[in-house]
Amino acid sequence: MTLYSRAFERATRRLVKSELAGSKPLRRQYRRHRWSRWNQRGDLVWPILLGGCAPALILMKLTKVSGWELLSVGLTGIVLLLGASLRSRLEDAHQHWPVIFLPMPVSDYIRFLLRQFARQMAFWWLTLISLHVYLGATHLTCNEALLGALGQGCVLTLGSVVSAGTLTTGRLRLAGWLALLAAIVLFTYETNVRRLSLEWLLTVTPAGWVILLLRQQWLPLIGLAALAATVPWAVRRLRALSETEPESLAEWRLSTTALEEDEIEPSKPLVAPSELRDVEARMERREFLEPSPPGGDVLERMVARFLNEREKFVAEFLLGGTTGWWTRHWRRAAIITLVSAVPAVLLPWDRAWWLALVGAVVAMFHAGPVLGGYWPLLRWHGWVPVGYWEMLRVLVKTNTVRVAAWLPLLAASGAAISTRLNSGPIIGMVIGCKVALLCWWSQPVAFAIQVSSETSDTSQVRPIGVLAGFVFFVLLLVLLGAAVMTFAPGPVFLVGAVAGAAAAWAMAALYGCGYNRVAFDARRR
Amino acid sequence: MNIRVANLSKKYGSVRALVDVSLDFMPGEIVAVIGPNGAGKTSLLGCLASVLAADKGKVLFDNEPLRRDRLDLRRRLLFLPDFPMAMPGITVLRHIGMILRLYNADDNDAPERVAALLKEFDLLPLADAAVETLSRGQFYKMALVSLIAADPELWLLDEPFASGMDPHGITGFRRHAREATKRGRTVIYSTQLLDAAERLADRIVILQHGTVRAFASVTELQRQGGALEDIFQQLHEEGA
Repeated sequence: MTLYSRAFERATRRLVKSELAGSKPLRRQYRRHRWSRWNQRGDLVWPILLGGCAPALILMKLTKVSGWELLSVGLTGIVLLLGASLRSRLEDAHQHWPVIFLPMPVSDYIRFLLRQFARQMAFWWLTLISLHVYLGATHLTCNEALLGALGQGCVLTLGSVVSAGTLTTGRLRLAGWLALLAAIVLFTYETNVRRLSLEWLLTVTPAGWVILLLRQQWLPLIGLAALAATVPWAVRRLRALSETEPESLAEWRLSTTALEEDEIEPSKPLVAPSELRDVEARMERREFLEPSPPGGDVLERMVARFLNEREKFVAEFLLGGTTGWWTRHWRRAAIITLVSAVPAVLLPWDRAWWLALVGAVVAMFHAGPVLGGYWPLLRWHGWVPVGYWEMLRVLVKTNTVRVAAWLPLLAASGAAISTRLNSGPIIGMVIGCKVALLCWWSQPVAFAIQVSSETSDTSQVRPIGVLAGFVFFVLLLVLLGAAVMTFAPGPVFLVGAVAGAAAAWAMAALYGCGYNRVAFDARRR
Repeated sequence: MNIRVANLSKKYGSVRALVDVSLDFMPGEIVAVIGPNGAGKTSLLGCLASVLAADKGKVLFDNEPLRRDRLDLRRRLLFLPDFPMAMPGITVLRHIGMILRLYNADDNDAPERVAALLKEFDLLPLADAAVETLSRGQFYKMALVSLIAADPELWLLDEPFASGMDPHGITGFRRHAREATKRGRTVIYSTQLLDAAERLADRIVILQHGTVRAFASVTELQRQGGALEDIFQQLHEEGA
């Protein structure tokens, strides 16, 4: 099923233009609105910068790998970030209107999303290749490797789409993450583009599975199984969405005519008067105006000790009236680290260190404040009187505690990996600590990115904005360089950490100036 | 609070939402912003609330420019968009309490005020309900209760008459808006319902293609061009 008809659009557009021909102002309006579509492109700047270029550049500095490997990493990053954006779009109820309001089968909806996603991915993938060609980092003469990379992209695309349907499903969330990460890690590893051949493309088809089975190539098979396991959850999730009872739009419109006071009949109470009295009594006790109970668990209490009264309130608001879930998530991360690091050391399997790596990545999503952590009401920053700097202070203070708590888990995973790679536990622990350090000093810029995700900063182009964007880009380069230096041996890493922290604060400050001066909208268009 | 909008212009890419808009709002008046779809009504309200950034021009509150770091100024206004904000999972009471604390309106009388408002808007039985279980109309009523209870100096409402509220809620809003103006509050709302604009507003701003076509009291507008409906029809024909 095609959701649109180009022939219909062409015919109608012809009619529209002939209607507009008589009026110059209307023609001008039409042209303006038509061009305004291109403003949307700015939203995809971050995937290529953060997902594609940043990891590729870091890897280039760290390991001196070839252009194809960089391409592979860049592609993986872009697809993962686009997958995350697709997932967040799926979580937004307004995006489900085709399934909810139109007589459209769920399978068509999934296909539509898949195509849309693949189109986006292909666009940025080609951009990345062009970038590499321009930089002279790679050569596009090797068809096998090109096709291999495309195949890898297909699998990752499929994985992300499946995850989009899966990861929002309550208790299955963790299982979904694990399966997806396993699939991605195994595929990324196994399909290292340098070793690819054309037949690898078969692995996404049943015929390829048989070949893999016969050759006893277990890793891609496990990846495929993990990916396939998430499909039913995704379908179930989307089917459940399609069965959601829509609220009638007509009902909304019916109630727009006001009556005079004397025309209104008193409404009937829905609950017993005694229950209403109870609510009133509790309100009189001002319970709803008190801050959230200071309780929480260990980490929440530690964070509370660092925050002053106003900051506690800002934190409560940003968390949406609840206390954090940090201790609970940390405990989960500790269990994941334990069950992945111990087998990684003990199993008699050459590649067992991957287990600890996967465990560390999964634990990071729980214990580590990735990109500043989860602050559900941060997206409403522009609508209520809460300041940029006080939000930044809250986020940095909170995440300092969280990173400190995460540090031992990272060190444990690092030790397990390096032990398994015969490098001794110390090197792994040091690298783990450096990852935590990197995460900590990058918090201000992570905050700016979170705020930025709900603004129109990339779609409103003004001279001052271009200048600020240029400075921002220079600081980003400093930040990336500092990130690389953080992993350098010897005391150089301290220089990297200090430079990185300075760049991160400078970026947050620069962004804050624009934000406070109302230089861009505090909502996405 | 005196609110001055000076030469405000706003573009979305190549689309001009506001073009050199200058307006003065006085304390104690209700102003309706009307205009065809895409005329710039929501953009004007957004700029007044500092949610949207103007490309040119200024918004001045008592001659002080509005910036996002001026929390003291931002506490003097509350903007209710057509889909107000709320955090899924928290209760109606917790949400209202949070808004009151954000606006420093959690004084000793707050519980009494909120209880009376919840009762008036039929939300008392829903006081401990999770916000995501509310219907669209109930949700808007909850946001409206927060606004009325916080009672800032400037009330900004985007399409309150198309918010899904029942007639009882709409009448309640009208009454509270009128009472608020007696306390010196300024109420600015956008609407597509000409009847709603005529019956409630002291003055009306008519926007078309981002420009102010008229800003006058209802009687003055009627004296100049007849009923609002006729003025609108005239604008529509001019635009076409």
